[in-house]
Amino acid sequence: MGLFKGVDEVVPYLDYTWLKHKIILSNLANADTPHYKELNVRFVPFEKELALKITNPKKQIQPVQTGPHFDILEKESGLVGNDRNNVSIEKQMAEANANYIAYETYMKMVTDNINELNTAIKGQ
Amino acid sequence: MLDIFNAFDVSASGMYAERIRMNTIASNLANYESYKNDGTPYQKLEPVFQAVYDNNLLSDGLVPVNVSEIRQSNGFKLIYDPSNPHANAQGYVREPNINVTTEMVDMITATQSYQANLSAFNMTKNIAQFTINSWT
Amino acid sequence: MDNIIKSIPDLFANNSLEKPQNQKHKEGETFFDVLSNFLNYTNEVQQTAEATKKAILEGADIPLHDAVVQFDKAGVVLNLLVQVRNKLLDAYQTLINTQV
Repeated sequence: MGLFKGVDEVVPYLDYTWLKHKIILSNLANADTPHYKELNVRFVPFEKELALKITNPKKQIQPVQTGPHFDILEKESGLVGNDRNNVSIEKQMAEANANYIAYETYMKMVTDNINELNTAIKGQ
Repeated sequence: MLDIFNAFDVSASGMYAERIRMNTIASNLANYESYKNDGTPYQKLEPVFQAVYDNNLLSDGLVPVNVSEIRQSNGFKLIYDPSNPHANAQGYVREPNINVTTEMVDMITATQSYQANLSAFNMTKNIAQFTINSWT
Repeated sequence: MDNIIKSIPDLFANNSLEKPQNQKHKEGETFFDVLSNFLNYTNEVQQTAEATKKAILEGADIPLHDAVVQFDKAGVVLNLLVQVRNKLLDAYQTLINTQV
């Protein structure tokens, strides 16, 4: 049933935003840990992988049914202090704020969708 | 219970580690020129931070920090001062290996990190509040 | 007389208890199928929400936004179920009260 199609579209982005927030928390907690390298999250949505495969017309393409997934990567480069730590507190705080706004946006999308469904069902 | 509490724990571990560091800096500055009862100089305190890489937590994106030990440094400054009561046979005095400038800079860094962690903690709290409030 | 009787076509020949071949639906679903799909889906959504609730109480690590979204979905589906039930009851009442 396609009842929750609109909601289910947004939920992976909610998951990504929450994971990114946790990564930022970890980076900030380890801002002074020696040899710690900053962590980042990469979101690979399903559509992007499928598009990459279709542009090669010679091979017979079976659409890869892997769902959206997240990659947690370590940042190799960046300014490194004496303790070999490359976390930039300012950048993390900036990302945290932007991420928070994204989270609120996605959550509001979901909530509004649910409210619309409820209103439509109750007929008022 | 919920995933949120783990997030709170990570921020709390960061704040705790920075506070430990601030405590050691305060001790070091207070004992800048002190000696123990047996005449040996005060040993500078150095906290050792360690990231906790746990597979379950890491796949969730959480890496807490742990203060594994507070090391007492074995380094000393050697100052030539024969008139000092603590001088050894060659006239050298061992003093605590504390550089006030370095300690002050560390104090500022520790305070900044603490505040960043606190701010992120509040943000997590706001996320939780907002999510619960949007629950119809 | 017998010849005349035999020549009357058997009006009830096709009226067996099974559906005749050409009246079986070729594609699409009956109303009953749609309804049972809907009930299954409703049940699924509510079971998921219930399982999530139980998992939270037992101490599992569940993201808060996941739990909220699932509970909201269960609420929507319950509303839908209630409204469908009301409409079915109304339809039944209308049918029963039809003057023949």
